[in-house]
Amino acid sequence: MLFNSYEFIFLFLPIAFLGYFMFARKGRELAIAWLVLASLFFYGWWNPAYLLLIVASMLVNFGIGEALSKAHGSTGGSSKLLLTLGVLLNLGVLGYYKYAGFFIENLNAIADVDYHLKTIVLPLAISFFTFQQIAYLVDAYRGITKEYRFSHYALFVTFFPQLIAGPIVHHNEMLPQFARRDAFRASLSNICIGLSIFAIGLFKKAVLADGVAGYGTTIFDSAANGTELAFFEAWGGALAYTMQLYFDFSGYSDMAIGGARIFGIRLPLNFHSPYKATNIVEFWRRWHMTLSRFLRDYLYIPLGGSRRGKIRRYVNLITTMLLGGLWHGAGWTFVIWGALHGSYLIINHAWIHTREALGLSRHAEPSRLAKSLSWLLTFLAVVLGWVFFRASDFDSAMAMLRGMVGINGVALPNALLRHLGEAGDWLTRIGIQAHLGGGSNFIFTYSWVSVLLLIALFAPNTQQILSRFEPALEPYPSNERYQISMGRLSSAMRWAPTAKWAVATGVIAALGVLALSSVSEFLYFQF
Amino acid sequence: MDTPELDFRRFVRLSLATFVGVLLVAASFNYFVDPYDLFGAPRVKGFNALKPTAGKHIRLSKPFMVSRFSPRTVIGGNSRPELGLDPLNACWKQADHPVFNMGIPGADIFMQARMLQHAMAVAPKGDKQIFWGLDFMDFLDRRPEQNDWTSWPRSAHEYEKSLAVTASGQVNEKLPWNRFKKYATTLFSIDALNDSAYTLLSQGNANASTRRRDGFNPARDYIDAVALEGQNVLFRQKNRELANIFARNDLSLFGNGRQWSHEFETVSRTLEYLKKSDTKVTLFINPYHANYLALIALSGRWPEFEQWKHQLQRLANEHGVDLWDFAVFNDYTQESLPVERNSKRTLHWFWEPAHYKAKYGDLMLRQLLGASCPEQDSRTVGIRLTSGNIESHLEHERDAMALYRKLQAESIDRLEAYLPGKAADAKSIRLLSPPPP
Repeated sequence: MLFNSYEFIFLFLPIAFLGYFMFARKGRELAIAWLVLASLFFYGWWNPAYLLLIVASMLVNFGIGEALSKAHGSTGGSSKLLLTLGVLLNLGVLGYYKYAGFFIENLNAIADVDYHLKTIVLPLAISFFTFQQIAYLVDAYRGITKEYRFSHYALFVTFFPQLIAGPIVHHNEMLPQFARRDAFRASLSNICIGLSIFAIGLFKKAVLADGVAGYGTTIFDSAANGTELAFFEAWGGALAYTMQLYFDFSGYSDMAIGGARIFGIRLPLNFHSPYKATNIVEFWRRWHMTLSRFLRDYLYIPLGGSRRGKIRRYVNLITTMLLGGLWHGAGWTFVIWGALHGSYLIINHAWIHTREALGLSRHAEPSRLAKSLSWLLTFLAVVLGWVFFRASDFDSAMAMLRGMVGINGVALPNALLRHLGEAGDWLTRIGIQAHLGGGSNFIFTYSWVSVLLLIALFAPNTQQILSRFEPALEPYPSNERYQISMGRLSSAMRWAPTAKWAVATGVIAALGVLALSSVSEFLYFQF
Repeated sequence: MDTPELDFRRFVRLSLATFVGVLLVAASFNYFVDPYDLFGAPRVKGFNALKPTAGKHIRLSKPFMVSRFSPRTVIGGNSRPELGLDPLNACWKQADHPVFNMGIPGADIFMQARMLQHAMAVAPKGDKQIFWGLDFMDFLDRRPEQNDWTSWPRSAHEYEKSLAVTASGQVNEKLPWNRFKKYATTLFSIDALNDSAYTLLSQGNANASTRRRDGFNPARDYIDAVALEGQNVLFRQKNRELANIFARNDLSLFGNGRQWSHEFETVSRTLEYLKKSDTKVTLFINPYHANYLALIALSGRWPEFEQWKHQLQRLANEHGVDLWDFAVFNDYTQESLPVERNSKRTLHWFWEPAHYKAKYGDLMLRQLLGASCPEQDSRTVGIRLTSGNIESHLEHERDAMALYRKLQAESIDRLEAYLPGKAADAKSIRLLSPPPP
């Protein structure tokens, strides 16, 4: 079931909510069982067949986790072996569903053989619940967390707001919240805060992301069909997708956080205005934060992190980002995207070391110009990455890039040039070409991109708007030094249960619902 | 969090009231502006009389428009008759009215047929008539090896949910529910809200695109395009698009060694259905500018074009309906283009090679409805095909084609360059998207 659907908003969510607090009066375990069943129904709505997989996965992981917890503290290598087995089992299932086709395809190409595999449909959310359960096993092994009730464990995995595409949560940040004394009492403040966050997310997804989506899709499809894109078309497509992805995924994350909050549960933050970042390290502290956290804690640090010298650190960084790229999808474009970001991070760290070696302080406040240039460089690097992330294959990505560097010339719609009159003639004289058709498309693309970029850069994010009410677990310690400043707007837009905010919330919720008539899936559901 | 509970209660009440209020205001606005003419709200001059966004959802709204119109005469086909044949033309007899134009831009043959079937199902009882404009390109399709008309229809389409009858002629029992869903999703839609606002703001635009209540498209969106870019640009854009399609090897009229296709099966079944519902049908082949005809020849499809006319004539004969051919060479279809790229001179009879103007449609109606025209005119723009005249007619057209190639060598060179693999004329012009509509 999609968050941005009538059935979720008007049926599932109210029923799940009412049932939960109604059963809670009769007993906590009953309420938890209800929430697990509701979440499984939510998951099975797409394809009930996948329910078997997720339930089997939970049973096996719960069993291993229980054994690991019991063995914690005992000597001997059996728990390490069990952990390895558990992790491999999870990765094996993920590998089969997500990477088997990719592996065979590459094997055929390299070894000149012709193996066939029947089409394997990727079960929804498998990438997310696999990572979440691996983290649980590692935490159980380390003694950080333990769980002896299957229903509680199932709630940790399936809790519907975070089940499909995160935020990726830890067992020990979720379950203690359900154990609180007031956890099973409906709270009007939580409902208001939760619905407000949900409404902001719905607006971001259904109105903004879906609004700009078509402009990116058209151009990426043209690139895939072999059309030679001119400069402004290619940039329009890349920027439109850049905006779509951010508003889609951060909108989804807001809806997840808001949905959970209605039940009184706080989820970890997933986004903190990533496009405001002025360097790539900062970008990754703000983009898909729970994935970054997972990769850091369960891959980068176990690989040695930064503890074994600079070279080893760089190797660890690129390895982490390559695997992070591959996690998004079985395709070389995702590997290239990961490699690009790994390289960006290495360059960023090398730059910091160089500055330190030259005796330049890391702590001096950069000038406005330096900050703007840093932002521009970071943003361009991110957009370049998204081209590979979005393109259907390597050739399409290269077709986009050829357009973006101007190899196919710089062209504007003929109608626009004619509208511009003398200025249009001047543009033609300096070599701007004309293309037929696409005039209104051009105007809409750049209008959408400009407005969304301004929002992404200068508007406060959901966490900041709701900051008085702790919208998420562990609020991000906003570091103004590494972001483009947003000025006074942030302090002016602080949510409170006032008449002004009630009207604003009602309006954006209504606009979000009005945008549901053309339903589209969230981009991150494919990963 | 020291906010009193009372504040939250007030917040809930106020935000809920705003939420419901905005939804109701949006739905009322969408209903009264009725940007797609879906609900049949009164058209008020200066408020919603013009429907500039109706074209975007015409497949959605025309079935509802025609249901309200209860026509006796229906014009069917794709965008060519939609903006070429005017239901208000003086040649229609009193008994022909009301006349509705059911042309749907971009409709394939099956959709055209289903729309006509629907129009007849909702028309009042008694004698009715249909004028169905056919297009060569609509009969070109990817041909699988097997007989693809044996399982007819191939599949159900989303738009068919709004039609009164199924392809086999049964009453569509789900229509009331589907209509309710369409109404609700349009009333509570942000896209419709945008389009309603745009509709309101466009009422002062003399050239705003629109659809009349009788389904006719007055082609006003061409006026700005022609004024701004010149008709030469429209011709080049469309010619290139046509050349790309005609050059595709995977498209053909019939499969290997066959003389039949899903499209012919569709026309045949529809004629059969219409015969049972007291409907007189007249088929006609849409006129094209000579550039279009030349592209058919230059891409090597002229024999297929003749074969198509032959088969249509046989089909018409079999079902006892008239077939007119307007896709011919004459002084009108050979009207010359403005040479200069941005010339303001416009053609009298055509918007671009594939779309004739309503003025040309008037000449066609004069012939189709000859006897009832108030002012008779001897000018002929087409011919009624019969088994007796088709051979000589096709030969005549073949000769006309040869003559055109000879006399218009320069145009022919330019058209040839559009065909993929030939030298492109695009020194600085590239095709990005198809022209309107």
